[in-house]
Amino acid sequence: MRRIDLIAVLAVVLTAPVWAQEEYVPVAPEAAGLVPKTGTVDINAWEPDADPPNNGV
Amino acid sequence: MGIGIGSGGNIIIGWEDDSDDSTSPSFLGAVWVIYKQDGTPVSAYPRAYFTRTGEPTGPQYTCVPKIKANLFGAEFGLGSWVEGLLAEEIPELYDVNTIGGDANAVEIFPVAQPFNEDGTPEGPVLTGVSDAYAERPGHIRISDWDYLSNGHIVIGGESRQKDDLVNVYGGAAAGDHPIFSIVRRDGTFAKSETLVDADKVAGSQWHGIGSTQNGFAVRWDSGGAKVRMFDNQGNPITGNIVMSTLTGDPGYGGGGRGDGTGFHGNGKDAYIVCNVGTNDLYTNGTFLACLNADGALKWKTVASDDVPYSSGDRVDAAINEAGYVIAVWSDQEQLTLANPIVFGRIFNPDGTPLTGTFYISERATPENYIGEARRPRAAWRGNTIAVVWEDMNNPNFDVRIVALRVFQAPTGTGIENFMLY
Repeated sequence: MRRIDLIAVLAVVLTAPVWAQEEYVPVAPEAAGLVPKTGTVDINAWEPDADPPNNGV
Repeated sequence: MGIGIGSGGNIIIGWEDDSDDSTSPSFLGAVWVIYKQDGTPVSAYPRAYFTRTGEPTGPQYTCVPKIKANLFGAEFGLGSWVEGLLAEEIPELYDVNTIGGDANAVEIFPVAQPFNEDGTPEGPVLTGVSDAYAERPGHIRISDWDYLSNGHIVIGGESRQKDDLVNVYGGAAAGDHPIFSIVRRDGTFAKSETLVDADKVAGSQWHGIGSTQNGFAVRWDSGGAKVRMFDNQGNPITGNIVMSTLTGDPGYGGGGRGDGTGFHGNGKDAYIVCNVGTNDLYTNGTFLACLNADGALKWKTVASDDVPYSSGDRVDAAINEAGYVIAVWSDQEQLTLANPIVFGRIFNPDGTPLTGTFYISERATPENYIGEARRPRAAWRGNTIAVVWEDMNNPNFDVRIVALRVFQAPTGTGIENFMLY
């Protein structure tokens, strides 16, 4: 039993950093408690030939 | 890019949009717009500077915008370095804008100008160096600038007048070196050009000036990231603070001259430093250090430590009056994405995480992105957080667009213990 326990403990300890990192998936800002005041706003979304220009930020 | 939130809630956004010919009016070297917090524009046409009579100048004379909101009043502002003949439109700059008065010999030097929060002009363009100082060989790029609580403005430069380090400041060897001046609103100098580095050795700086209630701080690179604190008169209140030594961790000494780092004061009592760094545990992590106004380390953490990898690209952070912090970065490795998307994470005033990592844009989530979203910059004032980034997730455009998203923070203002008298 002692040997089995030791193996189980070692398995958990040695793999913990891996599964602890893989477990977390970045969430939506709402799920983190932020309240969006806007969606994504395109600031300089002008037609390429229009004035003012947009040549790529 | 840059972003700031005004005292009245409007948001200023600045960027550089390079065309092939930097002398053309289509070259948006350093421009800004102003939006409300609901995403509607206040001043949507990209502007640069104003003449003394309030006429907007062309956007092609300067580059590398440094965007600020005055943390002590109701103002926005643009800083940049002049690389064309801005004196064509602002004649009073002619002497400092030219070498020996020759219109064909343009001097590179730093400028900044305050605006009202509706985008109307407020005061003249201010120069970070005098004509006499700029006349010596070499150029002076803007490093950063900010408003001070005493009403003056600190303007920093990465001076490439290499011999000045020996001949003006008494260093042992010539080289590029960060300097600053403190400028009154009428353009006169409250503190003339001053060397940042206590050791008088070469260094470089791209971003890196922030202010608190009684002074300001400068972050630059000289064999690793260094920070030094000054009072509102420009007197040093610390020596050089080596970030890797202060934190005991080489990860906090990364970021180089600062192109991809965040360094900001909260207008009260703290500074936030954010850089990509590497130590024994993390490769290209988003390293976050908070300093008290006296230079002491308040806390440090790796903002991206709840996800497997982070970015080698540009990162930023913002700190509000109460000391809450948001770190932002872009990354593709952590979720094995085809393109980077923008992430953020929020921290309490004691440095403990308030949230896990979250993505910023609803159209560039790990599931629905169609192009890259990268190089975010952030601002946080009161209970409003605003983030801008370079985006290619609008299917109607095949060039990068400046994208903005505004949030109410999950903290309130953070200013909870107050009394009314």
